[in-house]
Amino acid sequence: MVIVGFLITLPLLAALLLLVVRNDRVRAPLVIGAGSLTMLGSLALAVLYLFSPGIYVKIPAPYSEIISYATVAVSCICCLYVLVKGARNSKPLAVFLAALQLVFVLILEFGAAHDVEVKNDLYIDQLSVIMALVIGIIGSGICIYAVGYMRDFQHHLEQHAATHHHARLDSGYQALEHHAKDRRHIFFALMFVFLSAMYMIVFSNNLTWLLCGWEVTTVCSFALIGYTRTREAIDNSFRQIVMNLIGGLGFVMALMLLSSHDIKILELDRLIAFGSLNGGIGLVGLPVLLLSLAGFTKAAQMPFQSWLLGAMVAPTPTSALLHSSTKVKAGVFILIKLAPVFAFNLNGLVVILVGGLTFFFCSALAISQSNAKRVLAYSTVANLGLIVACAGVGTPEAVWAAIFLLIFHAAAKSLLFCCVGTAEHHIASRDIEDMDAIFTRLPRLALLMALGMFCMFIAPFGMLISKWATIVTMVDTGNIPLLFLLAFGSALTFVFWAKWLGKVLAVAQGGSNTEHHIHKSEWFALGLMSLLAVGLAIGLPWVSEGVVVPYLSAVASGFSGDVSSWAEITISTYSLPGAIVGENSNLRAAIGFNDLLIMATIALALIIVFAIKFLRRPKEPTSSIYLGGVGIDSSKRSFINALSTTSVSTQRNWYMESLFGEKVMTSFANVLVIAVMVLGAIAIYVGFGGVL
Amino acid sequence: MSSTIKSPWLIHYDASSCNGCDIEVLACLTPLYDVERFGIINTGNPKHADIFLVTGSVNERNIGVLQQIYSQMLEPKVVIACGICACSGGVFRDCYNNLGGVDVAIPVDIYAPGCAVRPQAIIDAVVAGLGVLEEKRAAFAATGGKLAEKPVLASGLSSANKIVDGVSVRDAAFTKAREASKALASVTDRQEGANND
Amino acid sequence: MTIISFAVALVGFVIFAPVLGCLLAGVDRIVSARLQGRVGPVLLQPYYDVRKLLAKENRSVNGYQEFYIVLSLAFAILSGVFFFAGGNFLLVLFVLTLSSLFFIIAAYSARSPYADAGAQREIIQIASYEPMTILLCVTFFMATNTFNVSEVFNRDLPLVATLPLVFAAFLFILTIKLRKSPFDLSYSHHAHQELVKGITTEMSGRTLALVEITHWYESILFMGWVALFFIWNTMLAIPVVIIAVLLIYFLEVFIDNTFARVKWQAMLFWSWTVTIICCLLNIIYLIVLGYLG
Repeated sequence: MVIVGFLITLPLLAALLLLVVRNDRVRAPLVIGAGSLTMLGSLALAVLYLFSPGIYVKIPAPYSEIISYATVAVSCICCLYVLVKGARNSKPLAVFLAALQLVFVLILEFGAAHDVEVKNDLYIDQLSVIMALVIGIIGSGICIYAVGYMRDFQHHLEQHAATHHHARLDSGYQALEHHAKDRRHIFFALMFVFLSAMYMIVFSNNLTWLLCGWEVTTVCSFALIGYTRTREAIDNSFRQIVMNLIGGLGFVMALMLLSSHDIKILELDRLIAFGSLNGGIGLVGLPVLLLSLAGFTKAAQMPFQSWLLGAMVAPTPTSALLHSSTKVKAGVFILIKLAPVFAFNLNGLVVILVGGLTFFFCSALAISQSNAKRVLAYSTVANLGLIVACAGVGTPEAVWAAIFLLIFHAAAKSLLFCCVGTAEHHIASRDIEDMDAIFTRLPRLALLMALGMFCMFIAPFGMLISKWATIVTMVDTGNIPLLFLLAFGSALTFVFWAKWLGKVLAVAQGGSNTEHHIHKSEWFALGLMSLLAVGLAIGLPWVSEGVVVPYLSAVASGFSGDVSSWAEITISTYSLPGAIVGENSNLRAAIGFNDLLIMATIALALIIVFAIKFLRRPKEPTSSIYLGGVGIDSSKRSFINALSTTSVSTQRNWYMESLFGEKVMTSFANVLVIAVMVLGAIAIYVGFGGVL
Repeated sequence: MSSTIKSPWLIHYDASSCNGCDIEVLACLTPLYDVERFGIINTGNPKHADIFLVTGSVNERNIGVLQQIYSQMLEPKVVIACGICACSGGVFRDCYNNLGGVDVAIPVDIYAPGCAVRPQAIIDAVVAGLGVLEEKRAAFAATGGKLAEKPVLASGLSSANKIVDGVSVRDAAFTKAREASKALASVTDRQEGANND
Repeated sequence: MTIISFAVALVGFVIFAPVLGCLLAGVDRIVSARLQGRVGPVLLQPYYDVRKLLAKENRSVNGYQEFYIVLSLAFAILSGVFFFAGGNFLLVLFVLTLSSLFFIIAAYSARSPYADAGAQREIIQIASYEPMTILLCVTFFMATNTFNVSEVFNRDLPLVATLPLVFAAFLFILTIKLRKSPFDLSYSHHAHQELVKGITTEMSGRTLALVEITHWYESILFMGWVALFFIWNTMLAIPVVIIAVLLIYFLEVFIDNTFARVKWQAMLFWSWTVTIICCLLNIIYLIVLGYLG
C-alpha cells in the first residue's frame, strides 16, 4: 500500500522541484529521473498487485481526516484559481460555475458528507493497476518526450518573437515577447501534478478524494492548454474549464445525492454494489446519471467534444498527455467502473447512445480534417465514445472490450501524438497534406507514425481486436442501434486513417533525410511507446487471460460477497426473444483464445516482415511515374503543360467537406446527443428507468 | 509459343494524326473486328502495354512525349507506326514543324501504311508485331531478365526549346526542319514583338 | 476451426482458388464479349495475361510497392483459408480488410497523381461496402448464434431463407467488391483507360501479375460468401450451391455490362441506403421469426 502513497506523492514532489528549477540543463535529468521513478513505481505496483485480487484499505482515523481536509482544501483552491483567472479574463460563465462549484463543495463537505462513514479510502484492483501502468509508463514517457520537444518549442517561440519584434505595436503581436518568456518550469510542474492527480483518481475509493483528483486534472489541463497565453489558447482553455466544470458540478451533485439520508454512500465499491443490486435504478438512478455526465465531459463526448479539439493549441506533449493516457481516460475509467450499474437499464442506454453516436459522428468529422492534430482529436473522441458505449452495455464481455480499447488507445495515440509533434518541428506544419513525402524526409519517424496508425484501426493490432470484441458483445446483447452505428462508424474510421497512412507511406523519388535533428529524449519516448503498442498487440491473449478476465470474474462474482452477482443480473434481465440468444452465463473474453492467438501470431509475423524489409536498404526506383508522357521530375510531379511551361501536379487527399464537414454535422449531432441525454434524464427522474 | 504473344496489350498514342487513323484503331475494338479475340487489350498506360501503336507524324511538341511513353514501357516491347504519317510524315512531311515519321524519335518495328490505315492492316501489323515481340522476349529472357539498359528516370524534357537534345537523329530532314522551325519561330516572335510595340 | 481444417483449407485454397478464379475471370471475359456481340478471347486468357506479365522486365517506381502487393496477396489468401476452414467470420473479414489496406498503400506509395486518385476512390469503395460486410457477420450471428462459418453445414434450411434481404444487400456490395460497373471506380477490368488505370497505374510486370492473382483469390472467396447462403445439411446442397454461385456470377457480369459507372457520391449513398434498409428489415424479420418459433 505504501507504493500507492509513493506514486501519488512522488510526482507532486517532482512538480515542486521543477517549479523551482529554471535551468534547462538541470531540468532535463530531473524530469527524466522523476519520470523513470514513476515508471518503476508503477511497474513495482504491477509486480505486486497485477495478478492478485483487489484489496481495500482503510487509512487510520487521524490521517484519513487530515487527507480529507486536504482534498477539500485542494478542491477549493482549484475553484478559487478558476474564479480569479475567470475574473481577470472577464469570462463570467467560468466565474459563475467556479463559484457554484466552490459553494457545492463546501456544502458537501461540511454538510451531508460529514456524517457519512467511509470504510475504505483506497483500493488496488487489476483495473487500477492497469490504469497506473498507463499513467506511469505512457504518462511519464510523454514527460520525458517533452524535454526535447519543449526545447524546440521554446526555440521556435523565441525565433517567432524575434522576427516579429518590429511589429510589436501591431495588435496581433503585441504580446509575443510576453508569450515567448520561458515558462517551461511551470509546464513541467503541471505535467507531474497531472500524473499525481491521475493516481489519486484510480486508487481512491473515497468519492470525495476522487473528486479532488478530478478537479485537479481539470484545472491542470486548464493551465496547460492556456500555456502559450495567446488569445486562442486562453479562449480554448476557458472552453475546457466551462465544460469540465459542468461535469464537475454533476460530480458534486451526485455526491450530494449519494450522501443524503436515503443512501449514505460515499464509496465507489459500495456505490457500484448497491447500484447493480438495484439494477441501476431507483435512488442511485439520478446520481449515477450525474456521474456519467461528469464522465462524458471529461471524456469529451458529444456535445462536449469541442474542448478537446480546442486543447490542440497546446504544446503537443500536453495533447498527448491529456488525450491518450490521462485526462480523458479518467472520464472513461469512472464509466468502466460504473459499468455493472449500467447493465440493462435506461441509464445504460443513455450511456450507450451517447457513446455510439459520438463514435459515429466523430469518425465522420475526422474525415473532413486535414490538420493532423484535429484528426487525432476526433479519433480520440470517437474511440472514447466506443469505450463509453461498451461501459454502457455493462456486461463483462463489454467491459473486456472497453478495457482493451482503453489500453491500446493509450499506447497508440500517445505514439501518434508524439510523432506528429516531432514531425511538426521538422516540417513546420501540422497539416496532413504537408506530410507529403515525409517517408523520404523522416523515414524512421514516418514508420513509427504508420505503426501508430496501424495500431489504431487495422487487424491484427489491438484497437481492431477490441472493436471486434465490441461487435461480439453488442450482437450478444442485441444492441441493434449500436451495431449499426459501429458498422458505419468503422467504415468511416477506415477512410480517415487509410488516406493519412497513404500520405505518410508515399515514397518520393529523391529528397534528403533530415532526421538527425530529432532529440534523443524524443526517440526514447517514441521507442518506448512503439514497443508498448507492439508488445501489447502480441501479448494480448495473455494479458486477457492473466489480468483482464480475472478482474472481470472478481467484479462479476460480487463486490463484498453478499451482493448478488453481476453475471446473474445480466442473465435475469436479459432475454431477447428469438434467434438472438446471448451466453452471459459463463464469463469469458468476447473473442475465443484461439482467435486471439491467431491475431497475435499475425501481428508478430507482420512486425518481423516489416522489420526485415525496412531495415534493409530499399531498392532504387527503376521507373519514373506516369505523367501523361510529359513528366519532367517524378519527385516533384512536374510536367510540361500545354503552354510549354512547367506545371506541378498536386494531389490532395479527399476531405469531402460537403458530406462530413463540421458545418454539416456538428450542430446536428450535438442536438441529437443532447436530446438523448435530456430525454434519458427526464425518464430516469420520473423513475422510468427499470423498464429495460 | 509463349504467353507473351497471346496477350499483347496496346497503348495507342496520337502523335499529330488527323484522327483518321485513330478512328480505325478504335474500330478494331468493335464487334466487327474484335481484336480481343487475340487477347489484345487497348490499355491507356505505357507501364502495362507491350505494343506501342502510334498514329500521325512527329513534331517538336510530341517527340518528347513519344520518347517518354516508349521509355516507360517495359521490355519486351514493340512499336508499330500506323498510317503513312506515322511511317514517314505523310502529306505533312514538309510542314515547317514536322520532323518526319515515328522512327525519328523511337525505333519502329512494324510499318503499317495507309491513309487512313485500314483496320485489317492494323490487325495484320499487330500480328506481325507479335513475331517481333516473341523474338525480343526470347532475347530478353536470354539476358536473364536484366535491364537492357540503365532506366531513364529523368525525362529529357526540361523546357520547350531543348526538347530534342540528345535524340538520335535518323533523318537529315529532321535537322533541317528543326532549323527552319526555329527560324520561323524567331521571325514570328519578332513580328509579335513589333505588334505589341 | 481446427488445425486439420486449417491445413486442408490452406492446401486446397492456395492451389485451387487461383485455378478456379482464373477460369471464372476467363468466363467473365467471354460472357462479356458475347453480351457485346463479340467473340471474345479464349477461356485461359487471364492465365496468359499473368504469364506474360511475369515474364516482363522488372521495373518499379520505388522499392516498396511490390512488398505491399505481396502482403496484400498474402492476407487475401490467409483470409480465404480462414473462411474455407470454417473459421470466425469476423476474423475473415478483418484479415481481408488488411489485404485491401496494403493494396491501397501500394498505390499511395507510388506518389503518382493517377494512382493517388485511384487509391482514394478505393478507400471510398471500402467505406461503401464495409458496413454491409460487418452487418453480414452480425446478421449471420443472429441467425446461427455463432460466428463460425462452418455452422451452415448444420442448418436445416439454407441461410438465404432466414436472411433474404441481407443476401440482396450483399449482392449489391458484391458488385463493388468484384470491381464491376457501375461501381468500378478505382480500377476496372473492362474499362481499360479509366484514370489511366486507376489504382494500378504505377504497377507493372510482376507486381501487376500479383494484383491479378489476388483478384482471383478474392473472387473465389466472395463466391464462397455467396455459397454460404445456399448450404444446408443435405447433399442436395452441392448442386444448389454450384448453380447459385454460377447464376450470381453471371448476374454480376450482366450488371457489369448493362450499367454505366456512377460517381462516388452515388455509390456511397446507394450502398449505405440499401445496407440500412435491407439489414434493418431483415433483423426485424429475424425477431418476428423468433417470436413465432
